[in-house]
Amino acid sequence: MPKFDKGKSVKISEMALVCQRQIVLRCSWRKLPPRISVSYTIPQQAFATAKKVADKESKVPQHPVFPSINEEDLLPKTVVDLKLVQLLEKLSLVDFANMEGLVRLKAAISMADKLSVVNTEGVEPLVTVLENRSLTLAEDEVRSGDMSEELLACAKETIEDYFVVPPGNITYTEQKGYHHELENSDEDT
Amino acid sequence: MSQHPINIGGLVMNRLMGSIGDVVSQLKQRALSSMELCEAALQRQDSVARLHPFITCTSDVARESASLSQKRYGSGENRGPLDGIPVAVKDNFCTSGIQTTCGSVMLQNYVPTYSATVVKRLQKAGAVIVGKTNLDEFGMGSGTIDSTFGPSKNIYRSGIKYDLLLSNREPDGLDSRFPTAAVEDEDWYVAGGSSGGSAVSVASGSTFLALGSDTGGSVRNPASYCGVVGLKPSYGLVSRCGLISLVNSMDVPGLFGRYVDDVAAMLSVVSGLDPQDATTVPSDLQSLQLPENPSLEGLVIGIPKEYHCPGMKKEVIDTWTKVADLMENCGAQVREVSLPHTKYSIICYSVLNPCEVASNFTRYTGVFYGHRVESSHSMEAMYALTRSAGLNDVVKGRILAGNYFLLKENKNRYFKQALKVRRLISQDFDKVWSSGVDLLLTPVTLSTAVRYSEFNNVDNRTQQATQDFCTQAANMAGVPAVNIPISLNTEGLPISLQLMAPWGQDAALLSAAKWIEQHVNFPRLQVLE
Repeated sequence: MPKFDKGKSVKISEMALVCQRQIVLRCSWRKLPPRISVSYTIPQQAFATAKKVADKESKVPQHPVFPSINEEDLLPKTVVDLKLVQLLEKLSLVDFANMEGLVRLKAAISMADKLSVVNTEGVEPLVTVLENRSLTLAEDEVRSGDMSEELLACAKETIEDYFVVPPGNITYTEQKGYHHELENSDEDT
Repeated sequence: MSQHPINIGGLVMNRLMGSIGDVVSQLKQRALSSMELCEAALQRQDSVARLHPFITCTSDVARESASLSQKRYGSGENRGPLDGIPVAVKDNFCTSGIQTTCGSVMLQNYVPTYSATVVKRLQKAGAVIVGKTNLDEFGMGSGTIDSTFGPSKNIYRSGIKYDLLLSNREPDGLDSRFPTAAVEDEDWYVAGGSSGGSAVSVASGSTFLALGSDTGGSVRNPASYCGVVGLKPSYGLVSRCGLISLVNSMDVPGLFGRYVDDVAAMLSVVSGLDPQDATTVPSDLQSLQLPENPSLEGLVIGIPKEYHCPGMKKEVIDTWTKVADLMENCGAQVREVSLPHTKYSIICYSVLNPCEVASNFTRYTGVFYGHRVESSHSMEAMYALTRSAGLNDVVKGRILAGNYFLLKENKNRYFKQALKVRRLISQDFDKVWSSGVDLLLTPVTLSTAVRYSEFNNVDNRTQQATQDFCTQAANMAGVPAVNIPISLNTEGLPISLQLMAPWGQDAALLSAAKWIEQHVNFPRLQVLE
């Protein structure tokens, strides 16, 4: 809530201006909240009313707290190039190195880049919220088994007791001719 | 569809909206039988089928369970507070012999050979599982729009006929202040996500309870939109064995119910150390009993100012204000607090989620289970084609992004940085608890349920980033959080609030939630079909 000197009589027009100034100082200049309207009463009474409202004021903030992140503090934007997408596709194997995939990736990186403004000097990474607790590992004992039929039944391609997989020594991206396709799609961006 | 060998009268159908405590005493007194209750639930499932809360209806399994439950009541033995109670399970929990799809083509044909620990515990307690509920594919989404099997719709203003009752204690008192008719233009309200199916199942009376999962708000978000209680327990209190992994360090099985007491009963059944999940810790919640009349005496409630974010609707703020003021007038100390890193929570999640997803989803190859696209000449080709066909764009996008953030040259800037920011977010909570605050009261979603026409205009990631603002941080810190429905707005849609507590304080959290429930008298839905 805006602060006024106690006992000092304040003109209505001044009150509105003070309210506005104090809020502008606290928020990003880009987004001003709606004007605070002050109803017309004589100055001393207006202050008395303001004080009464302050007494009964809820602890819930009636105006939004603006979570602005200063874009100028960010590190330079990453260039998402052909070579990068090929590498990611090789690691991901989702056949998504197309326009749609590129758009999503760029947007994801753009959002993630905002993390760089946070000062994390001296802060340890938090891997699990249970880091200070002693966790139990199960005993190394066999509790179930003899389920080969049930497990093989889950798979589409099996031969006898084997899961069937095609040869693993052929790189998909080379075979598909990604270089050519992505060069073409890059021209359109 | 299911057959109805027993004729279910209106009286029994009304029981579906009751509390578990009432129903179980009826079952004990033999005023109601488990089979009747099961049939009523299956019939209700049929009536609301067009909302599509379920992917799979397990009527045979349900009738078998109900029959065994009935025998137990007949011989005077019963398994506890959930014996004979119809429940639903989100379709990312493995259920032995029952298809478990995660809402995805990838697992459309997957029938697990084992059941999740929480499912086994529910079954052991005599609960009757009536179906597997719909979800955003692999839990990625906040609307239950992105499921291979189609969206789930919110029951409010859907065209399903229902009355609103003034209080659960007076079933004849109709509340006629709010519209209940279908919204125009064949539009509908989203159920929220990703556990939308479970929320609708409970809201519609198809089940008393439902299992969901909460990684960024996936239980509390749909609970808020559908006007039901949605609990995200403390990380580590409920086993994740059998819950198909999304983000191992944040996933938590979540609980839905219409009454806080019901959710507490379910928590006492499913919680506890599991030797098969090394991220579980021992707890005494198995003997959880909430006080009959909880009190706010001596409690300090914190109001984190950052949770009033831009875009939050005035009616949500007004509700937040009213409840905070009410609690203050009734003996609690209410004070404004600050969680300064809240605004980074969504961004942090946008890095950590894809990183864990990129790792977890390497298991989907088509070799051992699930969808498979033939490509006889190359294993890599087979993997890529299978994964491309089996996973939707949201999932694929996260895998690519995750692998980007995990590249050697990026690991420090993105993954490690996100882990450090996670610690800062967690420390925000620690500081607030240390300052003497017992609970935090915040909104859950920025508004009431959104219309499908509006929701669908925004892409999945932006939608989640907006909607998850108030729910995400609890997953970062692993603290328990619960959604409590408070009132309906002028359109007749639920407005809800969230309570959060320090890690492990789930009992205290639920006590306070029960207090709020008792004092706000949320209008109860009574489905007429």
